[in-house]
Amino acid sequence: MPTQATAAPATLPRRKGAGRYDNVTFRACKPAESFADWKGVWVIVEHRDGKLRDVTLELLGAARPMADKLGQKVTAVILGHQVDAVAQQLARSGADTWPTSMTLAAGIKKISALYGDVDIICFGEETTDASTGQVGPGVAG
Amino acid sequence: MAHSPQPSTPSPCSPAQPFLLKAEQRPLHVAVCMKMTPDATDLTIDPVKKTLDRSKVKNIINPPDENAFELALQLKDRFGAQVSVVTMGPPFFDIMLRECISRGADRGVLITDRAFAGADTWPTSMTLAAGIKKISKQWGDVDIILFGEETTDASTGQVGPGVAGQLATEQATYIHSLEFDPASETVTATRSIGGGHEVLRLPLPVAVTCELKMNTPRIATLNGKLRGAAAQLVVWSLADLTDIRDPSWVGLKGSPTIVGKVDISSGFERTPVKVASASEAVEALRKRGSLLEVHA
Repeated sequence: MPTQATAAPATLPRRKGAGRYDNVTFRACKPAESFADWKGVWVIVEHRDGKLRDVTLELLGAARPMADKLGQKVTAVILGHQVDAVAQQLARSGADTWPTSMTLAAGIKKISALYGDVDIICFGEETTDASTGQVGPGVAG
Repeated sequence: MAHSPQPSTPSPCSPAQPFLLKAEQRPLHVAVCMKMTPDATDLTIDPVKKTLDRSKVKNIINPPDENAFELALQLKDRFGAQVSVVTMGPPFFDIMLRECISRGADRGVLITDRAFAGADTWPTSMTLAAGIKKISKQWGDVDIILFGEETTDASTGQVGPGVAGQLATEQATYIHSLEFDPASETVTATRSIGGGHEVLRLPLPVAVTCELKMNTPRIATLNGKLRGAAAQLVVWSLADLTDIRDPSWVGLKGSPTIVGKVDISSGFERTPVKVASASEAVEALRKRGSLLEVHA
């Protein structure tokens, strides 16, 4: 039942020209005041050549008891192209739902709309294909 | 990890005749965010309090930060970039800034205040970003922000991407080489990935985190050491970073992460158990609580 969400990625303001940081402002990192409306546990899926990476299975292993304790569903979020085979594996690995998305931010919006806001998002430390390690901190921001 | 790539193309520029950015007619400005960490070869954990015992440990420059700084000096050698080193930490971090000036940094900025203590990666990123904004105001816009890939004491690797996010710059992480192309005023960053390399070409400004051992850090000359010892460091407190409008944004108060527990990992003896069949093994594991229920 994978669903496909597509949306244009949000564009960041480019810092160009003299005084490029003049308009940068800062703010406190405020955690949510109440988690009452928050639901679900997400695992961001890593895959390569149509196969799940081990780290995803490890995260699902951690997410499953967490979600059971909270009485919530585990959602595995797959990013990529032609990922049906990956989705099939996820069905056997402890995920309740596995929407796929081309872009992460769009995916989160779409899935939040479908399944409600998210409590806990589990990321691998970095992907083996891109090794940026920046997506987790990026989404948290 | 690729070893220190020698610049492939000679540069007509030098610190005496710097490359000037076309639109603004000023040299490149490189900022390096660095810190000191306990020497990992010398580190103990207090067995009672379960915290790092920092009292007896020698502090060194975080190893990959040395590589990031060397990269900055190479950009200075080749393109006449000005190099600012910025650090957030206790006052004794001044010895690192003096060492950097000894090796060729133009200035060292120490952001220090009791209010910053206990910061996790969010307020740390914000504080460094506010520092870079202030540095840009005083000495010209920063074009390239360099970081070590991660610190040896906390190993999050999040502060580089965090600063990139706060300042909305481009970013490249875990790079092992960086080339600046003066014609297009872009950088080409090469990152190691499983099965090969990824090459990114990025416009300025850009934040980059550097892999350990991507180059060989130089040592200071005697003249450099004299310059470092005599240098006037720039020291800013929270009050100097006026963009941070509330003390509760930084330090422990501004940190959403709470460390619940740190454990020492110590090995333990394992005793093998022989069982007759696979089903007995499964049953034994289930009794031990080592098996999660399988969800079909």
